[in-house]
Amino acid sequence: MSDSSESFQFDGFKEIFDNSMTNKISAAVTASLFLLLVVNAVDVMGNNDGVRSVLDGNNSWQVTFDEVIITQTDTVVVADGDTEIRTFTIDETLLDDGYRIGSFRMTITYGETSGVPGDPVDSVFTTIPQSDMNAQWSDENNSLSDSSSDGSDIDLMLRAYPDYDGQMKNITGFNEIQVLENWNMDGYGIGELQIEISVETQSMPFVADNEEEVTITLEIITFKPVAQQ
Amino acid sequence: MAQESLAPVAAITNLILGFITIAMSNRGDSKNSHKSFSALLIGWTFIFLAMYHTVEAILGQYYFETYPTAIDLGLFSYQGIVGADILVLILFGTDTALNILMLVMALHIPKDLGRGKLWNASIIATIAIYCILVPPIIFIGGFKIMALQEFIWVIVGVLWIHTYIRGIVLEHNTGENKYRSVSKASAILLIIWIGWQMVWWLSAFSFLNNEWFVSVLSSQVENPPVWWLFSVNFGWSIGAIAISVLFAGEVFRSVKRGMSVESWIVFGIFFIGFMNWIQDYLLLDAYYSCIEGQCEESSEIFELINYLTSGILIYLIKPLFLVYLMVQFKIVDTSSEQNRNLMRIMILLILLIVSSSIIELIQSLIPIPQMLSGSILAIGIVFFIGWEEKITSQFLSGGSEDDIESITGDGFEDSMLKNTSLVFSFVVFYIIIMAVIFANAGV
Repeated sequence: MSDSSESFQFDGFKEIFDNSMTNKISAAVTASLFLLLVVNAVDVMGNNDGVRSVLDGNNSWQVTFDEVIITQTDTVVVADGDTEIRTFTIDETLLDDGYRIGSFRMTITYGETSGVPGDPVDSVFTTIPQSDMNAQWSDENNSLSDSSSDGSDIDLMLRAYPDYDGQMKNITGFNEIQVLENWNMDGYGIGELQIEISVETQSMPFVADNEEEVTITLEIITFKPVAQQ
Repeated sequence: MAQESLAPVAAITNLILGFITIAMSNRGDSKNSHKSFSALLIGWTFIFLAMYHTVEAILGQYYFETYPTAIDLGLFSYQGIVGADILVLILFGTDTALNILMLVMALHIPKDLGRGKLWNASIIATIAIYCILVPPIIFIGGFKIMALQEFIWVIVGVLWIHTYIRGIVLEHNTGENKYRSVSKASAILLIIWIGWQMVWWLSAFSFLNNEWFVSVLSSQVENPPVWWLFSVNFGWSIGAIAISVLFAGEVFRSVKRGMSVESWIVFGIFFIGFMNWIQDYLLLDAYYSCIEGQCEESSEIFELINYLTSGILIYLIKPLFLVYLMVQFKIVDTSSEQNRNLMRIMILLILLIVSSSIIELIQSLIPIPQMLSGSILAIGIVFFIGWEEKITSQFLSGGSEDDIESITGDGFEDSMLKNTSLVFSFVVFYIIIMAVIFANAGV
């Protein structure tokens, strides 16, 4: 065939199909290919249906929290003008399985202990100083310092787990693991928690009132998240 | 074990090889116009591969990493960042050009399937029309249309598998070596174009590829169309069937006639399939992580195995085997003095690229100091320069008469060869301009 041929000629096509044995093998191979294609396509479509049922299904979840409160108490006598520091050690052994520490609530109670009628109530100043404990130290809902001069209880609060307020949350996600991801982090609230207590006594003349007994109640609020659709 | 991207190396290698091949395509005393056209096809394949890998490297450097599978399956959406969008659209356009080039190559090498001026002209016209129409259709109609182009892989694969089987059968029946040359050329072409899909053959047969694909499906915001789900398997399926046929053919031939270099290459790729299957099996949980658990970051093992298997086949084996094809089958006239110097550059370049890439690969596995790897490379360079004449002669004397005559076909007029280069030059500019326009329009 010369270059000048104007027409289409497919001698090459004819030539490559000139052997019957080759054609039979190729036909079998091509049939296998199409079978593989069809079976694979059906499998992919099945996988896609499974994926879509998750992705396009109900992805709204409600996360609620089961709370368990662990209470520890301590009593300290603080002399007038002194500052006492009490330390609570919190470790994982305190926690039930699956529970994490959400926040700490401290209640400081005291009364006039001189026993003299008419003796005015002392002033108590309390502070939770920042420590190495992994907690939300700069959370705006914290109450890390307070005082009392009328004998009323002092309530302090420190949030340990990010965003934990015990309230139900609406979250979207494809599965329970994804939904609970933010509520299953370890390490928050573990370590040492201190409280500084200072006392200024108020006393009547000729009455010896130079100290005050203060009771610290620490409530460790632990939670376990539960996801429901 | 951080792996350096091989894309920049592949870009430079392919670019130089492209220019050299195009320059050599029309030179030589014993010029055969069909071989000139074949050389042009290979030369422009190098240029488009260079363009693809350059853009891929820039995209990775400044925006995000991309993978060939993501381009082939159209797993992209407009980012709203003009620079990144332009680069991605160029990748789609270049990939389109490479697909049609592969089809045209299958119609011409090793056997010219059609003849006549009209046939040759229609081939060139088809390239032009395809490259002009398909990229805008993809840019407007949605990137997922890219996956339909994998049907070209199926056609090409079936064609080369058939010529391979024919070569093996006729060699066995007649005992003539010329048929081995045909089967050898078909096998090399299959490995060049779809070799990187072959390494997943066992996962394709055991449907583990589809399990991997769940990780892709779970990233799709909308339910993908059925035709796309059907198309995504074209690549793996033709790759699996092709390597199975090559393996069976080479085993049969090895038993009857003994092993050859090509047999070892086929057995190597076949073996990699087992390795990749094990990897797929081990990572099953990770593939389902986004829908059944917490999305897992891409595994380091997956990255490394991909790098050492598909990565090598895409970035290094393609140019290496294309050069081997040209030299072994004398697609360019290496006997002419004009081409000999260019051939030397080509061979030395390939040797250097391969040695530096091997060192890089070793470095990604074992952290050896750069001073040491630099010294090893320097020793290699000295060796190559010292034995340059001998190495070149050995390369050029590789092809037998049967190999040289196995690639036959109709003649092309000089004007058609010029038109071919003009069409491809136009396609390069067209792809870039279209990408700039569409990315700026934010379609």
